[in-house]
Amino acid sequence: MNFPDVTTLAVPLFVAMILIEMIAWRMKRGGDYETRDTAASLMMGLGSQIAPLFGGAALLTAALIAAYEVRLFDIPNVWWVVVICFVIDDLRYYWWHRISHERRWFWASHVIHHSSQHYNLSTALRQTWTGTVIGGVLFKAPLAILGFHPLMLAFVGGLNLLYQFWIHTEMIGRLGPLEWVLNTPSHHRVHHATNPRYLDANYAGTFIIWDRLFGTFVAEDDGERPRYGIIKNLGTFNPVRIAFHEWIGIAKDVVKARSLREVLGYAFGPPGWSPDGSRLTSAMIKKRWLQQQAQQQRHPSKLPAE
Amino acid sequence: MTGSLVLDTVISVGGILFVVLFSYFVGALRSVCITKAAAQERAAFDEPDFVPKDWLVSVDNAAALSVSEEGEVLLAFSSGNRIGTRRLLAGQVRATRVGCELVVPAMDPGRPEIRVTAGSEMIAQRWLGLLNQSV
Repeated sequence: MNFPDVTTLAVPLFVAMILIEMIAWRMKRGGDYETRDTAASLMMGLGSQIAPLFGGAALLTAALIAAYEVRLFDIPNVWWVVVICFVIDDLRYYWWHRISHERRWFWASHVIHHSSQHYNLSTALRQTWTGTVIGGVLFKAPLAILGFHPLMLAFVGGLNLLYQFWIHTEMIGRLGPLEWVLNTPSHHRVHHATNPRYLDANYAGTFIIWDRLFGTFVAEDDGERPRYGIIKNLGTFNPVRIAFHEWIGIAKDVVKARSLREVLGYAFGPPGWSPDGSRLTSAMIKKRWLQQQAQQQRHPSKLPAE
Repeated sequence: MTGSLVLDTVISVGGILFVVLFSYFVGALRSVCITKAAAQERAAFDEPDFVPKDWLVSVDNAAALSVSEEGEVLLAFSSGNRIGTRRLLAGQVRATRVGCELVVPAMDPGRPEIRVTAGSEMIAQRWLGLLNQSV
């Protein structure tokens, strides 16, 4: 069974859909584009294809082959196994994606994808340059140990990425019953939003059921439009700065750490962690917002001035 | 795609240039105009507990800054057609002035410094005093 590189094959489709979305935006069908933001996203996408060639891809491949060599079962490469593999890999993606938000070491790589204040199809291509060297293989290796062939894993991973491309748009509203099962543009808008109510939600790749199952699902609220980006928006379109800003941030924090606990906290704690609590993690921001909501419900007359 | 890394890169860069030029021709190259209202609105979203005492909006409308009663500083800056903010604790700020322009280190690898141009040197000097008051 052949496993084509679906992501590379889909590049012309990506370009065509971005151009169509731009035209639709100009025709006031929704969404928003900014030239420098789009350029930065596309450069990050190109870099994400080139960067692994400097060792990361080889490392990842070698680790998966080694894991496959000690496989527990001989799973055949047939179509229905590919379907099962896709679903299991999507569950793997959910946890990988979740930890990529909850631990700064992984966030330093994933933050790139969230660093645009826009949400359009070009944002989907804003990808990390350091993703293959931070330990993601630890999440993928168990599937190879189970007996799924590394090429099949690469194929279903590519399909998952391909699926996630089209959901990066503001032009599609809700999709009826599909919203229950699939990750949709509406669900993923929530994931990219920085509004406190939307933080730490909807980590799904293809199936939103994982979020519903593990308690991280938040529905898009028609009364609160998502505002995209990160808690501290970057203010730069320089691809190198975008790629490495959080790594530099970690290095600076680790250098000034006064104990091993602080070193570990800065590197592997939640993004925004600080020993004295002077910075805010997303959980703290959400908690503060919930407290404000509760307070306003108790004392509606003390609503803040518009 | 072609099997040659160099050729693949050239094709990819060409594709990116095409999309970027297309976005330019459909009018996507835009910069936000930072007014006091726009800066306040963004600050209220990013830092809801920051209570600004006063605002200085750059004459080029590319940035703004504010100081709170507690001496904290909030910087608002343009990022294409969006606004970003940085909040600096009292005593953290080491601003400098060059003529009418205030240079405020934002202490962030993403945006190392923010430049705000005041309407006159006198205004710039007054704000420099406010920014560095807790140093």
